[in-house]
Amino acid sequence: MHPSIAALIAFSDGEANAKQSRRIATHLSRCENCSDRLLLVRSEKDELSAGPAITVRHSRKGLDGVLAAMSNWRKGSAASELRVRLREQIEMYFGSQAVMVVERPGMPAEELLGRTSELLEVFLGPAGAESAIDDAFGGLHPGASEVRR
Amino acid sequence: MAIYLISQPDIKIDAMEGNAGTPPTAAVELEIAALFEQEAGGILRYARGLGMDYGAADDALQEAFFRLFLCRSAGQQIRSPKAWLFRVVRNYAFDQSRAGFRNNVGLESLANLPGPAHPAECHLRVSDFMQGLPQIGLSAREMECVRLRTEDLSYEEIAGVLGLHIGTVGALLNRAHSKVRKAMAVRHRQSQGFTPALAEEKRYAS
Repeated sequence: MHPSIAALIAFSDGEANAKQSRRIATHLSRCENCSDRLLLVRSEKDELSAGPAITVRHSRKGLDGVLAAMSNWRKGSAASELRVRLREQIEMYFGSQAVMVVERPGMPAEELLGRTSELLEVFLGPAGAESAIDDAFGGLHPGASEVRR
Repeated sequence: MAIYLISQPDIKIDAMEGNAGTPPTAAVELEIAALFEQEAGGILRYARGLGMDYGAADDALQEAFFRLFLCRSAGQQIRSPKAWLFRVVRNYAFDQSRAGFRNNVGLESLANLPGPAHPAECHLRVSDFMQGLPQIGLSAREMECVRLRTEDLSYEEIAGVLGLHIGTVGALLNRAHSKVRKAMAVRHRQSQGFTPALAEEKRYAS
């Protein structure tokens, strides 16, 4: 029996499971028609892959931008701003007393982020948590253009 | 205690362990630098494919890596950082779109991508074929799957980025291939001087 196009696409993408791959490979070795269909699938994929040749060099800020942002984060006020925003998120969803439960005195902003993410994930679900954390992050990148706020 | 998030299985949180589960700063920096070298080009291309201009795409890239740094510093284990970065860029693009910030962002604008600002960037132009994808009837979801696959994301990673089941990714790619196949056949016929209009005439004449 000939494999479906969907199976050939998965095979071409290396996404078929081992058993399926073996079966398709065996079939292809003796079916010229399916070998041609596989070539067609690959040529379609090549067409779709003909995107712009952008490399890491095309980032104007580059890795330096990221490293500078990381360094500024450690020195600057962005960490305290994030802490404030995370507290706001906790207060909004769980009330002000929850902040005292989640945040210990002297806790780094990164750790508060981890705890807040986890709490939001459990109570709001992944999409809600992602959205709330996105709100807290908005425009925090020290070198990025202002996105919101 | 390590916790895997239920519907984001690429993320495991060690945060409840406090600082004990937090990787050392230098290790995080090295990890980020290596990932940047490896993935930045693809992420920029993907951001451009979402209709962002060069500045916005670069901002999205910076934002994604900065967030990765924060999450890793918080002790979050990210099983597939590549997929995670693509998802952040995608969310960032749609956030911008919602905020009406800068240019129109969205897959619909793919066909109207602005030309490059500098002659040196001419080779960055999205190929004619890619620009034609909306015209050949690829849906936004299909295009997203195609774009992510061309960046070598696995079906599982694509599913993670787009919030789909793996099976749906396979089905969307199958449908995209079918539409591309038809478009290629039309193009092939046209290149041989066989236009659909002519074909119609012949059929009705016979």
